[in-house]
Amino acid sequence: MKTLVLIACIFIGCSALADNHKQQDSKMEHKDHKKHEHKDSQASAKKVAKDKLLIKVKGMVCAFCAQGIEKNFNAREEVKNTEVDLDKMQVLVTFVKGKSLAEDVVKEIVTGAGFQFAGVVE
Amino acid sequence: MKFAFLFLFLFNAGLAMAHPVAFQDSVGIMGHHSPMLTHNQLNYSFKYWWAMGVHHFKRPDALDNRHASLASTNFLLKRWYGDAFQANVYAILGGGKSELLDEPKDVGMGMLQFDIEDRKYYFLAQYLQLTDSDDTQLEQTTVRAGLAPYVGNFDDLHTWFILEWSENRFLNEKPEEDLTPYLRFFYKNVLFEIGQSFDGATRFNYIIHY
Repeated sequence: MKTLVLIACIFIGCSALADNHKQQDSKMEHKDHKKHEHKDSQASAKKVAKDKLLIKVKGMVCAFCAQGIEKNFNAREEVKNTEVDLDKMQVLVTFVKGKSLAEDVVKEIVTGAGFQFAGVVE
Repeated sequence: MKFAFLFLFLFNAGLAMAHPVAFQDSVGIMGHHSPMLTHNQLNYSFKYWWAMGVHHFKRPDALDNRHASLASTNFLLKRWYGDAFQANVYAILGGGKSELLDEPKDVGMGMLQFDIEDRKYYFLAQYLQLTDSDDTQLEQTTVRAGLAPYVGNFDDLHTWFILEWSENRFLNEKPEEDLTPYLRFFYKNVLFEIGQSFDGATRFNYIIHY
């Protein structure tokens, strides 16, 4: 009986947390979107022309934890190389010639690595 | 908010240096080894805030084979992103079979962890409990603080000095407290810690992410 209650609690906890995180993520994205709304079209246009993208990442204080950023960017076929700079809290993404990533994909990769996307550095 | 931090600091401390949830689609292998208890775990992070894991506890000091095997679901409940720091609250809920005490029993596991770090300082407080239908089989409390003698960048070898206070409390046994200075090294995705408590016990911990 106790095992069943425990499993039910875990299931309810998972569901509640998933909803909570989805809401937080969408809020965060909405906030970021609003914040960078005026820059988006400009940044996207630049991104197509450039083969590199410099992004600002918030909360990136630990090299061990930031491995996910490098790994998840490098896993994309569009990405040639990723350089993480903890001093400046920036990530420089170099694309394969003729390819790039949309800003919302970049944001998703940064968020998936557990950090906060703080915009493209002009 | 300050009260929440204070509460976690005062009442919820734990196992060592677990990193129960990592980046999306990552595997984490980690272990905490002391003469009294070893805890190894393997976690897969489906999201940056959710992982599933398996755990194995063993009492190396016991003459018979005393161990526990559990499965868990791990959550990053909250993360604070600062300009120069990051703070996290993690929770683990799990269940499995324990033979840490006399006879095999179904057990539930709960863990709560708070950590905060910048590039120079680190603090962690963790509380872990294994409970069967009648009793609490194991309670672990750990508090640790760390200092980096130098600040390295992403591709450097990182070194930390860490001081850990821990208490293991098995049912019907005298609680064991330890104060252990550790040296922590990490490079890329491999972290290793080695320490010797003031009563002479050697301990080591590791984490590998990929």
